[in-house]
Amino acid sequence: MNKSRFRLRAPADEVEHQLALFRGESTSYSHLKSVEEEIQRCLKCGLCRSVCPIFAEILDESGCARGKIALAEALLEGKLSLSRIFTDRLSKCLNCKSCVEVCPSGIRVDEVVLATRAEIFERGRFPLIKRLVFKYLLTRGRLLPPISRTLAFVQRKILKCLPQSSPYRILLPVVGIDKERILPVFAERTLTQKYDEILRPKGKSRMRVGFFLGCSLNLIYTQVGSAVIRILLGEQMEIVISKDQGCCGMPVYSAGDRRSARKLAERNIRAFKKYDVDAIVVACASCGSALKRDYESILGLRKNAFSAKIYELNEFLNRFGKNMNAKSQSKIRVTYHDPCHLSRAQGITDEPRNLLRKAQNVDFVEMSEPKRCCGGGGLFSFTHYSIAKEIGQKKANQIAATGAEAVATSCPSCMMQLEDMLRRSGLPQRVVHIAELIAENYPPLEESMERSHQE
Amino acid sequence: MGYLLKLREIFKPEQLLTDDYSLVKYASDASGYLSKPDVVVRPRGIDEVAKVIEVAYENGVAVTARGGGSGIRGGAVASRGGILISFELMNRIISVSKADLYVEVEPGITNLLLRSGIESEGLIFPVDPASESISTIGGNVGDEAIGLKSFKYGTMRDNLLGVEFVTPQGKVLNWGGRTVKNVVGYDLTRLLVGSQGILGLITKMILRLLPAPQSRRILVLGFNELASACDASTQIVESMISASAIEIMDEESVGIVKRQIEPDLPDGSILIVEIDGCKSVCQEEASKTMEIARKFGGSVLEDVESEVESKFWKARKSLFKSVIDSGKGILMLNIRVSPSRIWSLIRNLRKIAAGRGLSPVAFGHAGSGRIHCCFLLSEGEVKPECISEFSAESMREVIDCGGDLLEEIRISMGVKPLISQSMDASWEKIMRDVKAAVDPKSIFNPGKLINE
Repeated sequence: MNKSRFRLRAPADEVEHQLALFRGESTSYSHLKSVEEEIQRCLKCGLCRSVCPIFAEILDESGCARGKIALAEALLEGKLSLSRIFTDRLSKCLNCKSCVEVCPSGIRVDEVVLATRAEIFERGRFPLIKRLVFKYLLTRGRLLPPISRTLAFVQRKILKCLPQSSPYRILLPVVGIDKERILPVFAERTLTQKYDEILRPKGKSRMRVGFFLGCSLNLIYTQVGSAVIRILLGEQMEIVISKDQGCCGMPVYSAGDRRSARKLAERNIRAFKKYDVDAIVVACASCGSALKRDYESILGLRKNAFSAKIYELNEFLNRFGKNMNAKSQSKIRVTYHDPCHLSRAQGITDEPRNLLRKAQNVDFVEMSEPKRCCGGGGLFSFTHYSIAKEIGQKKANQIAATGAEAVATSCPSCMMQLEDMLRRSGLPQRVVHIAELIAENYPPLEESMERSHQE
Repeated sequence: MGYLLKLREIFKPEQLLTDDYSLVKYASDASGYLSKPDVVVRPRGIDEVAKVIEVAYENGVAVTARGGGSGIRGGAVASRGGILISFELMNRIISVSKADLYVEVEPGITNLLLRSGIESEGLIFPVDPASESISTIGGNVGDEAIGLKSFKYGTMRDNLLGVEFVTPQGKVLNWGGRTVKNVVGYDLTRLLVGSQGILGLITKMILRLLPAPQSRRILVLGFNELASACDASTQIVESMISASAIEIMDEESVGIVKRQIEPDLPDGSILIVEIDGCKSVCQEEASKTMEIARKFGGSVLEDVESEVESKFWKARKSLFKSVIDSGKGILMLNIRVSPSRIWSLIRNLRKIAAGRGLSPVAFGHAGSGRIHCCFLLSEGEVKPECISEFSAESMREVIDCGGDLLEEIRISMGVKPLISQSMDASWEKIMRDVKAAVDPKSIFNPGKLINE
C-alpha cells in the first residue's frame, strides 16, 4: 500500500532511520549472515539489469538485483538501518529468478532478498493486518474454506463479481487492491469439500499419489483441481487429497515470516505422512517450488523425505504418464507461458511442451518470449499494481501476436495475472491451466472413478 | 549543501535522490570502488542537465555521470562526492534515417537496445562491446568502446558523427553533424570520445549506421596451440580476406570456455573469424579462411551464419566475466599491440609469469590488436611487492614488443597507477592543459584519467 500519499516523504524516513539507530535495534542479522557469502560474491557487474522485468519498467537501480545486494551489504556492514524506504525497495522484487539465471557469479539473489525480508519482518516492520492474517489465519488451514465460502457469497450475491462499473469497487483500495483490477472469483465449494479424501480408479491402481492442492486450486480454480483428478485417475493412480493440508507457505515465506512458514511446512508434512504415498503431485508452480526447494531452508534441513516425493504435474506425467488418449479431437490453437517458478526455479520447460504436442485437442504455437515473467509475482501484483500492469501488458501483447485462442500455463498465480491483463486490453484469448487441456485426453471422471465421490 | 534547494527547484522529487538507501546503490559501478555521491539526479532532458550543471559550476560541486554502471575503471563512481547525474531516464532513440544512415540517441539507452531498435530498418551499428546488454551509449562514448567488429568497422571514435553536450558553464553546444565530414577546425566530437566525462557531459549523440550485410559467416577454428592460431590470423589478413572480426583465445581461456559450453572440446587455442558481405563473397572468403586454417593444423569447430546460432560467440563475449569470476586473478593488462606481434609478446609474458607462479590467460581482438591478458595465481600466495614488480616487468615487456598498455591513471581511487613510459610528463601536461581550458573549476569527474 502506498501510504506515503498521506505523509511527508524523505524527511520522515530519515527520522525513522535515525530513530532506529537511536533505539539500538538489534543488528545481529542472523538470516543475512547465512547468505553473507552470496552477498560478497557480487562483482557489481550489473548484468542483472538486462533481465530484471522491474528494472525495465522503473529504470531505477533499486529495481535490479545489484541494487538490492548493495542495500543488503550496507545493512550487514552497519552503514544502513531498516526503515520504510528500505522495506519499500526490497518489496520491488518478483522472485522471478531471472537475475539468478544470468548472474555470472551464480549468486542466489532470491535467497538474499528473502533473507533481508525476514530481517524486516522479525523487527515488526510489516503491516499489522497482514501479520495477523499470516499468524492466525493461514496457519490454521481449516479456517480457510469457510472464509473463502463467505467471500464467494459476498462476491456473487452482494458485489456481483465486481464488474467494472460496480460502485463497490471504490472500497477495494481499503484492502490494498487497485480498483481497476479484475479479480478472480472464489469457488462456491472448495475442492476438499467436493471430493472425498481418497479417490480410487476403476481397476488396479499403479501408484498411490498425494495431491497437494495449494490455496488457489482449493479455493478458486476448482475446475483445475478436477482436471488434475481426471488425469490422475485416467493414469490409474490412487489419489489422496489429505484434508489436513493447507497453504504451502510461499506467500508468508516470501514476505519474511519464516516462523509461520515453518508451521505451515510442518503441518503439510504431517498431513501426508499418515498416508503412505509413493509421490505427491502438485499443479501450482509456486507451491511446487516452495515444497521442493524452499522447504529446505524453511525447515533447516539439507534433504527431507517430503520434498523428495514432490512431483510437479508436468514432470509427473512425462515420467509416469502412459494412458493419454490417442483419439483425434478438434484442435484449438494454444500458446504456453512458462511460470518463473517452474522454468527457472524447477528447471521444467520441455515437459509441458511435450504434453501439449502430444495432446489431441491442441495446436501448439510458441510465443516470442515464453519464459518472460508475467508480472504476477504472487502478491506483488496486488501491492505494486502499476508496475505489474506494465510488465503484464508486454506479455499480453506477445500472447495476442501468436493468434492463439488460449494461453496455457502451469501456475494459478500467473493465470490470475494473465486473465487480468488480457481482459483489460480487450484481447480475446482465454487463460487455462495446462491440466484443463490435457484432461480432455482422458476419459471423463464418471468413467474412471471407482465410486461416485462427487455430488 | 546549499545548492540542494536549487536542485529541488529543477527536479521532481522522484528524480532527485538524497536518502542513504539510494545513495548507497549509486555508490559503485562494476569496478568495485565505493564512494557515495551527495545527491543523485535523474534528468529527463537536456534542459534539466544544463540547469544542474549550471548550479554545480556556480557552487564548485563535482559532477559525475553514470549510465549503466557497468564500467570496470570506476568512471561512474563519484570519487569526490558531489552530484551524480544518472542518465537512466534519458534513453530514447530520437530519430533514425535510412537514407542518410544516422541515428540520434539519448545517452542512457543501452547498446543492445539501440542496435535492436534499428534492426527493423535493416541497419546496423557496428560497435558491439561485450557489455552491450547493460552498458549505455553514453558510457560507450566516454570510454571509447570497441566491439568484436571493430576490426573492419572501427571503434566508437570512428562511428560518432556529432554530439550535443553541456559545457561546465552550463551552455549547450552542438558539434559535428549528420554527415561523415562535418567539422571545421578542432574536432571536439572525437576529442570527447574516451574523455571519460572530464570535459563535459553529452546529452545527445549522432551515430553512424551501416546497412545490414546481406549475409554473414562465423567460423570457429581450433588449433593445437596459440602460436599456430596467431600465424593463421596473420595469414588471413595478408590474404586480403576482409573479415569483419578476428578474435583469439589462448589455451587457458579455451579451458574456461570448455567448462561453460562443452567439456568435449579439444584443448588448444581458438580463432573466431567473422565474414560479412554479399553471399558469394562470403562463400569464397570462408573457404579460403578454412583452407588457411588447415594449413596451420587447425580444424573447423563451428560454421554458422548468425550470432544467435554460435555458442562460441557468446562464450567469447562472457569470457571477461568468467575470468574475473574464477577468483584467482591478480592482474589484468589491456594491451594494444600490432596483430603480427601478438604471439611473441604472449610468449615472453608467459616466461616472466611462470617465474613468479602466475599463469596468463590471453584473449581478445586479434584483428584490431587489443588483447586482454589476465594473470591468474597458479600456486600459493603472492606478496604485494611481487605484484608491483611483476607489473613493471610485464609492462616493460609489452613496450619492448612495440605495444602499449591502455590503462588509465586513477589517482583518486587510491590505486597506485601503472605509469606507462609512453604516457610520460609531456602527455600529462597536454591532457591537463586541455582539461584546464575546458573545465577551469575542474568540476567534471574530478580525479579520473589524469593527475589533478
